[in-house]
Amino acid sequence: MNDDATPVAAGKPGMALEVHALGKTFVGRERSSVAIGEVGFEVADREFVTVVGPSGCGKTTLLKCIAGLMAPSAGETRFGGARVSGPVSDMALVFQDYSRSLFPWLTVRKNVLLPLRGGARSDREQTVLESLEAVGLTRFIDHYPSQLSGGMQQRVAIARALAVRPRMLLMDEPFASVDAQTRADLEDLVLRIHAEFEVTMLLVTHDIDESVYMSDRVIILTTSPAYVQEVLPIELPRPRAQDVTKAAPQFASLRTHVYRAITQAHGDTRRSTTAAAAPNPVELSTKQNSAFLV
Amino acid sequence: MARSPGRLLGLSVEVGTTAAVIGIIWLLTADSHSPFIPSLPTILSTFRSVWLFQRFTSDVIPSVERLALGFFAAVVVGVPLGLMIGMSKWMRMLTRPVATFMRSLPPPLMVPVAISLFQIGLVMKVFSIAFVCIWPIALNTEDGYAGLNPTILETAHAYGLGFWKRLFKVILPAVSPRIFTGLRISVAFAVLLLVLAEQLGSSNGIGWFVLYSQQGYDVPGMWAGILMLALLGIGANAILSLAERRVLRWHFNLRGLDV
Repeated sequence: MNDDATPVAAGKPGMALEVHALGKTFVGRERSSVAIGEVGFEVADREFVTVVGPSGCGKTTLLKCIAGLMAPSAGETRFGGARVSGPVSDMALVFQDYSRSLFPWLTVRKNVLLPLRGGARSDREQTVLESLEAVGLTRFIDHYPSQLSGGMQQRVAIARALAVRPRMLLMDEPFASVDAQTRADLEDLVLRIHAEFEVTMLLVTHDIDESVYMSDRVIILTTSPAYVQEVLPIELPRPRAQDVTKAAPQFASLRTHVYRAITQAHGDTRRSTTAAAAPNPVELSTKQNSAFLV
Repeated sequence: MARSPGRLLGLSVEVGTTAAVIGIIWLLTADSHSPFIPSLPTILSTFRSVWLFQRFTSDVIPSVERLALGFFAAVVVGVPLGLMIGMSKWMRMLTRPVATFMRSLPPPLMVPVAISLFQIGLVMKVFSIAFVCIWPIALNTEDGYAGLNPTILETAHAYGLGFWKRLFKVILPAVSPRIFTGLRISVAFAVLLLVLAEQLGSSNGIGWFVLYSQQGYDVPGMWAGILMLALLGIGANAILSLAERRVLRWHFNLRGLDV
């Protein structure tokens, strides 16, 4: 895919993120398992890109490599033209497991305040207040996470990510552990934040409707090991709304397109990888995923 | 913390049983003529005349001081040691054989060793207590760190928290439930070692007083000393659980919701 590409020296103008031929192999004592075959794509400034793929295909691994939490075995990620070798302060990550990612021993205020550095204390407090206002939770600023519902906890996690004023937000299945109504509310919240804060978004999900509803482009991955199967532009008008957008005929055809691409990928690789049959080491624990695809 | 009928019942059973046991001992020893088993009122009046306040400053205060210093030293050494072992594979490989050896030594052995190393004095007693208490604290801390959910550490990493922020705002609070498990185990060891150290090498303290009274045929004094030691143990445990309830309030809230 990337045979003739020369390493990019400086970032392309207008590009927030460039992923070049990224690969990840987990080397074990007995055998190794390839989580990501070769994945490459770009995300423009202020673009909303979603990576969708069957559960266990290596999406979380991919996101961790992009965020600098995990070193890739091959290829590289460039953020604003600079090679990513560790966590970057301009990139904020929202985890799926908000109950672990928010610290239960800190109040909402202190959770959001924790990553903030520099400036006067009052300025930081102001930033916390603004971020909580963006997610509509200022009333709960002195509550502990355990006193909030799951959806509210994830909103705190989003506020914490916003508070560092990132150029880009990375989200790993952020709505996978909440009920359907809360999920729709959170989707709209993230769309509003994307528009208001002019932030670049990279969302990873297994939910096909969500990928089409949220994005400017959908990147469809194959089953493990992950390759880019297709990049699909979503030309639905913005602002989007749960009732109008999802009722549009164009939405239906796009979601069918993604659905077929994924199920076909699922069938193909099932035939070709039965011999290896290496279970994905990272996503074995996400039980709730399969319902959306089977 | 609502007072439910079950809770009230439990409390009355506890109080009732205690009262019954005290009553039975009272009755059985009431007209005892054995010099070795004095009656309960005799023990209590001895307790009052010995500890209020004749020997309070000469024996109780030194014992409390030894206990507190030894326990404090064990926490100050044990928690960082446990974290270092938990965080570094090298530290784990280097310390595991030594730690396993130290942990398997019967605690009383440390007192003669401490006497020959430091001579009789405060250092020897503090060392005896601390040396035994370090291991439950360090091993529980290490185990607690190893059992942390990876997302907790990944979050700290992803948000670029510096070393001290990571240590004091994330790792220590996250491990603190397990640290308190270690503390509760070692507080029992601490009282045990205090008594041993005072009986083997001391000329004051509650442990010394029990042995001294027994050897001087002052049986009521011996019992009064034992009663004082029990109160010391109960007091140490009470202070610890008070601290635990304060520090781990978030943890108990969390468990209350999950269960």
